[in-house]
Formats: sequence, structure tokens, C-alpha cells
Amino acid sequence: MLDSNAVNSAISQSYKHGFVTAIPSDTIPTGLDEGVIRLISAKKREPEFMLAWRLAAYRHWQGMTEPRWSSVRYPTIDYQNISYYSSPLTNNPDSIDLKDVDPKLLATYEKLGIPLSERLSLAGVAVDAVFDSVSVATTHKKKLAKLGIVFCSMSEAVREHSALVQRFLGSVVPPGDNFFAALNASVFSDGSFCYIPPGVRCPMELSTYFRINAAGTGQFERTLIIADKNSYVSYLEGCTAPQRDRHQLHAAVVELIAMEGAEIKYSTVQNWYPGDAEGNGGIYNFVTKRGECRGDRSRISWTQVETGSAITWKYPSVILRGEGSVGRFHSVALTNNHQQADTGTKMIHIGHNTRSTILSKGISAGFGHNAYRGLVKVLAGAQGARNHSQCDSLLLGNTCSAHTYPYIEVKNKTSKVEHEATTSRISEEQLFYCQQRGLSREQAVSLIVNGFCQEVLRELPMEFSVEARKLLEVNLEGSVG
Amino acid sequence: MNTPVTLYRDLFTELEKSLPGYDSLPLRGLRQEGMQHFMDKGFPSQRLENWKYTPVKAISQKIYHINNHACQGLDPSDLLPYLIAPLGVYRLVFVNGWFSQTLSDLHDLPDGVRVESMAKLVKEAPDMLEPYLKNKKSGSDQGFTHLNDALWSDGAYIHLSPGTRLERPLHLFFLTATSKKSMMTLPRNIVVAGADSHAWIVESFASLGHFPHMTNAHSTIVLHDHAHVHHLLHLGENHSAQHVGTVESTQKGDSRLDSQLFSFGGERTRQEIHVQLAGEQAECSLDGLFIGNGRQHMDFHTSIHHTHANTRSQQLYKGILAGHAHGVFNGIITVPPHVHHTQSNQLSTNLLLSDTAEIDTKPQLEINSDAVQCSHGATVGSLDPEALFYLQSRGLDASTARNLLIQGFAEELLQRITPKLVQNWIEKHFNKGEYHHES
Repeated sequence: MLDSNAVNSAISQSYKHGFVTAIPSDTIPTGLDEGVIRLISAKKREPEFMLAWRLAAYRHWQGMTEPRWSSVRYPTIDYQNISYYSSPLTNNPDSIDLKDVDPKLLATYEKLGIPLSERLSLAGVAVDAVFDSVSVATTHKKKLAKLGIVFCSMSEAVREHSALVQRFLGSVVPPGDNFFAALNASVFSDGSFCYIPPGVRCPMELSTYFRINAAGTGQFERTLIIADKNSYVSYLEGCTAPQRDRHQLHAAVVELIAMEGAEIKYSTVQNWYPGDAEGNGGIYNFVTKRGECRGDRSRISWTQVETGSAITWKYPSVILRGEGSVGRFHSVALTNNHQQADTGTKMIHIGHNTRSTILSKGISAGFGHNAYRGLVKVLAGAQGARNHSQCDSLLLGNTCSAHTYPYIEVKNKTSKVEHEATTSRISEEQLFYCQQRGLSREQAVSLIVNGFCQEVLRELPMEFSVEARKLLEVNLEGSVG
Repeated sequence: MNTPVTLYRDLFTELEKSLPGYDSLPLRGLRQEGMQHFMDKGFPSQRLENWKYTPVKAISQKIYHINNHACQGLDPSDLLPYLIAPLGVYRLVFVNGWFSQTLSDLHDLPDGVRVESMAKLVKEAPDMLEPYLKNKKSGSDQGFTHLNDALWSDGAYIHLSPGTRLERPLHLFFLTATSKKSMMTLPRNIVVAGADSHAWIVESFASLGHFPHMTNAHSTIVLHDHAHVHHLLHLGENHSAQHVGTVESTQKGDSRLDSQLFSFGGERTRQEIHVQLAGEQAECSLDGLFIGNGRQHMDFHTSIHHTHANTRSQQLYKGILAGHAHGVFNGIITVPPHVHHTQSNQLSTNLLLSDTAEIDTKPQLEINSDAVQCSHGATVGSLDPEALFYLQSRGLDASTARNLLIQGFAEELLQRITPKLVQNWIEKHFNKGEYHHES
């Protein structure tokens, strides 16, 4: 149990990742045209197929209009006023050895609590650190390579493992999938790539850490994870950005592919800068995340803790194609101050006996707006499909809102689909009970919120779970009353 | 270009002078306004979120003619199969959209209760109706409502003075005598329940013959303080009929609305029920039971807007779908900021009886206030094989066991119907339901 001082100090520290690293960077001028895409591709020394792929996506994107159907509200984004590539100048793209990485960068990650040097790094976590548009370091590569696991930055994968990339990239989220995915496909700068060979159980957690540092840039990373037959991988994603008063766009794409008998666990603790209490600045987090259970008995699970970003707009989904495949979605979304979130999932049941579980916890405080939007679709051929969804919303204060939009489409009579949802606030009785036992009001709220999220938090790997709990406390600043 | 929209405009120009209320300038204005909105927005498109699952083209592309006089020559005995009971019920009958005096029965109406044909009333007291006819909504999803605003023919006007009670149910019966010439009927009803009044109102729709026809109905219900209205809607038109209907209800403090919907007929049916709980302690309960078979499409949209504190709502919609039927339930509960102590719950449960039936259900919550208790749920499943096995092991044959389980699924809603007279009548329709013939 934290004492009251700990809560108060946590509350007063607000966004602790808001610092800027003063590092010279190679940032290309703002604007987007074919030239910019050619420039990005050239800077990354990509093979011809990649450039063609990007250009095709760009041409498709030009014909698309920005979607407006969600419940989030934001001013029009000027896509010509964003710089699509920024790289710390001192970083040598070929540097694999940590000795070559700028000490300032290492210090940045140290400060964020993500030590990159192998000696210090958490035992059992391999990290790929992405700074603005490029990956600065990937740890534990040699150890993983011995098992045949490929874990590297996307740019490296495009050059070194082009056959794999060519085969799988865009096969779950096609370049023209949606407006932001198409934008990402044309300008994506880096991200992580991971391939687990058949029968291998990845011995450590793999992790990507995203950091936006430069001002006026957008981050467009692309992550691709392939788990071949009967393999297993657990993957963590974390993100932070400096405090700035202008909104920055983050439009990432994550694709997961699970072959026969494989399992992928993908966990996110999203802590982008949420903007200040008046709603100025902060990251627009418009992300497309989708996994495909391609093989029989494969499993994909998404666990997310969304505490940051001015706007979170994403639906990590699972396409359950393989027979007996399983999709899971666990989410905690917290919106405070003027944050907005429109998040949820899609579970598409195609194969026989496919199962999915959705557990979503939304917490709104201040002027926060939290919407759960989810789709469960059972196609006619999905015999014996099973889904259970639960989405609960907790309201703290009378200026916030919680909306729930579940879509359930069932075309198969042997399937069973259940959905339940509740919306309520912390009752005075609960608070009274805790306070009467000697807890302060803040502690009581924190305890109740933690209990509310418990089922989701315990799905996270241990280190992340601790971080997530702390984040929830910090982000509830000022909402207790 | 002759699109359905321009054809309806031409029809409107042709019929306008003969439609009720033409002599009253404000009412004429309302019709013209409705037509203007309809011209601007046209029929809703499936791209609209609210119409996503409705095959709206199939409903709107066909051109229907509109009858401007009642159908003569029906004998009261023709109605017998459709009536709740020959006696003990007040009855207003509308044939092809127009009131029929001879078929109706309003004997012994208590003092203080006024029940009239709208077409008749607009001639006598147009000013009284104007506020209720004014449609506050306009938008691209309101095409059918605007068409009704412009072209409505007749319907019931029911006014309960404060403190009055209607002891017997009031049956509003809309019958379409179909012919090769497909017809659209556009009924418009207004129910005003004064303070402390109480009434049972049954609205039912049926067709004579099997030719295609279309109904585009609109009812407005206003409940004043402490009023209590039971509103039962029975949709039982033939299997080539299209039905689009809207019920708009506004409730003042301490009032209660019990809305029950039973949908068994029609080829494509879409019913919307919108409730505003606009007074403290107002309460509503919306129930629905729909059974679809063959290629039937059944589409139900409810919205409950809690504009005042301490209001309560509950909803239970059950669907039974066999054959290639397609069911849709879309319910939304809204609580605006600073509205406290509301309670709402919403449940949609569905039974799929065939591999080709489909259900799309979407129970939604939009909560902008923290002092609420809200829950919703949805389930989709089939008959439990173990329950079927159990019943068969006790000596019931497969189809009896199946029917028993289906009956059990629907029972909860059938039990809630009052009075007994109406309950028996709905049960009779339910037992005729076509899910029985499914193997």
C-alpha cells in the first residue's frame, strides 16, 4: 500500500517523460509528396520493391478521405505541415554495437527507465529502441540469433530479410486498409521486425520502446511479428514523448501473424504525452493494429493500458482464420483532463471452433471522453464459435463521459456470443468503507481503480504491470474529489 | 430524371389539395416543409450508421401509389380474424390508411376521453394538432418520416383529460386491402395522456390478401405528470409487405410508459421507438419480441434520452430467427451531463434457429454524467442441445421439445402483457408463428 505522500508526490509529478533530448537531428522539411517518399526510401537504402510498395500506397492514400465516424473530435490535420522523417544525426544506421550509439541517446533511454546496455538491461527483456524515425539500438540480438529468432529494426529487416518482409508485410493490414494505414505504408520510417522460427519458444520478452523527440514530426512506425509453427513470443511496446504545446501525429501499424499452433502475446503500455490540463498539445495516437491467427490452434492476445495521448483511436483486432484459434483483448483506457479515447477491438470469427474474449475497462475523469467500440463478427462458416465480451466503464466526476458501442453480427447458429457492459461511478459507500478503515480519499480511489483494472493488469508481464499501476495513479491527478 | 423521390414529389403536388389539413395554412405549411426536407435529403442510404443493416434500397426503390379515400365494401365479419375480441375493446379501424366509421366501435367511451379520426379533426380544430404534428427532427436519416410528414392520410387522435382512465383497451387497427396496384399507407397517430390518466392502447397492422404494399407509420405519444400508458404494437402484415414505423414519446414527471412490440409479419420491417424522459421520476420500459423466418428482415431501433434526473428505463428485446431471416437490434441510451441518479438497463437476447439466419445487435450507451447506474447486455445463441436431449429423454418428440424451448424463451415477454384479453390475442399470434415448420 502506498502512503499518502507517495500518491501526492506521484500526482504532483504529472508527466515525467516530458523532457527533450538536445541532440542534433537530421529532420527533413515538412511536406509530403512522392519526392519525400523517395527520399525516405533512399535514406534507408531500401530495395526497389519497398519503394514501389510505398509509392503504390501513397497513390492510394491520395484518393482517400480522412475518416470522421469516430466519437473523437480534433481540428483538421495539415498533412503538409508534418516532417515525415527525423533521425538523430549521430546515429549511424549500421551501428549494431552499443559502443557506437551516441551516449546522449543511451542517457535518454536510461532516464526513461529503459537501459539499453546489456549489462544493465532487465534480465530477460530484449529491447528495440526507436527514437523519432529510426531504431537506435536492439539488444540481446546475438543470444536470440542462436535460436534462429530474427529481432531487429524494420529498416534492417527490409535490407537483410527482404524475402520474409516481402512475403508478410501488408498481408494483415493491406497498404490501402484505411486512411492512416495507407499514410503509414507510404512514409513509415522504422519499427521492429520479429520472426520466430518453427518450434521455438522465445526465451525472453521482446520489447520496442518508442520515443518521439523532435518537434513538428510525426512518427510512423511499422511493426511486423511472425510466429511460425508452434512457436511462442511475448512482445511489449512502450511509448513516450516530450511535452510540447503542438499536437503531434503518431500513426503506426502493427501486424501479427500466428501460424499453426503459435502464440503471440502483445502488450502495450501507451504513455504518449497527453497534453496539458487545458487540452493543449499531446499526441494523436491513430494506430492500426491487427493480428491474424492464420494456422489452426494459434493464439493472439492483445493487452493494452492506454493512459497517454491527447487522442487514442485504435482497435487492435484479431482475424480468427485457423480452426480452434483463440483471440483475446484486454484493455484499460484512462482519459483525464481533455483526453479522448475511442478504442476497442474487432474479433472476426472465420474458422471452426474459434474463441475470443474481450475485456475492456474504461475510466474517465476530468473532461475525459472514453468510448468503447467493438465488433464481434461470426461468419456463416464459423461453426461452434464462441465469444464473451465485457466492457465496464467507471466515471470519476460529472464532466466526463463514457460511451459504449458494441457491434455484434452473427451468421452462424452454432455460435454463442455474449456481451455485457456496465457504467457507473465509485459509490459513496465504497469510499466510505475504505475511509472508515483508515485510507485517505485518494488512496481509496486509487485502490478501487486498481481493483477495477485488476483483471487486465494481471495479463501484463510483471515489470509492465508495475509500471502500468503507477501510470494509472499518476494520470488520475486532480480527478479525486 | 424519374427517381422515386421526384415521383413522390409529383404525387404530392397531385394529392396535396385532397389531403387533410389543406385548408389550414399552418398544417399545409408543415406538409410542404416535410416534402421539402424529403426532397433535400431523399431516402436514407445504407452508408448512414443508423441504416447500416437495413436494405433500404429494397424498401424505397419500388413506387407505391397512395390512396386518397377509404376502401368501401368491407364487412365487419371480414375483420373478425384480426380483432382482439369482438366485445370489450374500443376499436378504431383504418382501411387503406383511412378511417372507417362503420367498422369502428367507440361505444361507452368515458367522459373526458376524446378519440377521433385525425382527418376529421384537422377540419374542426387544426390549431390543436399543429404542435404535435411539427417534426423537430430533420436529417439525412429521416427520409421516411419526412415522407409521412408530407403525405400522412389519417390516424387516431386520442386525448385523455387529467384523471381519466380508459378501462378497456383501445385498439387502433390498420388494415390494408392489397391489390395488384401496390399501395402505400401513411398513418399518423397522436396520443396525449393528461395528468394522472391511464390507458391501454394497442396499435396493430395487418393486410388482406398477399400483394405487396407498404406502410409508413408515425405515432406521437405525450405523457403528462403521473400518466401511465401501455402501448402495444403488433406488426402482422403479409410476407410481401414493407413496414417502416416510428414512435416518438415524451414523458413528463412521474409518468410511465410500457411499450411492447410484437413483430411477426412483413417482408421487411423497421420500427423505431424514441423516448424522452423529460421529467423527474419518469420511467419507461420497452419490450420487444420478433420472429423472423423465410427471407424476412426485422429491424428495431430504440433510443432513450434521460434528460432529467431520477429517471429510469429498461429494455428487453428478444429475437427468434429461422430460415434466411435477418434481425437487427440497435438501442441507444443517452444521459447528458449533469443529469443524476438515472437507472437504465438494456438487454438484447437472440435465438438463431438456422444456419442461414443472421442477427446484428448493437446495444449502445452514451453516458455523460457520473451519477448513473447503467448496464446493457446482448447474447446470441441457439437452442441448448442438452436441454433438447433432456426433454426428449422424457418422452417428448424433437419438434415438441424444440417448440417448448422456443416458447420458454418468449414466455417472459408474453407474460408481461396486460390485460389478459390482449395477452391471449398475442399468444394466439405467437403460436401460429412459422418457426414451427422449421426442421
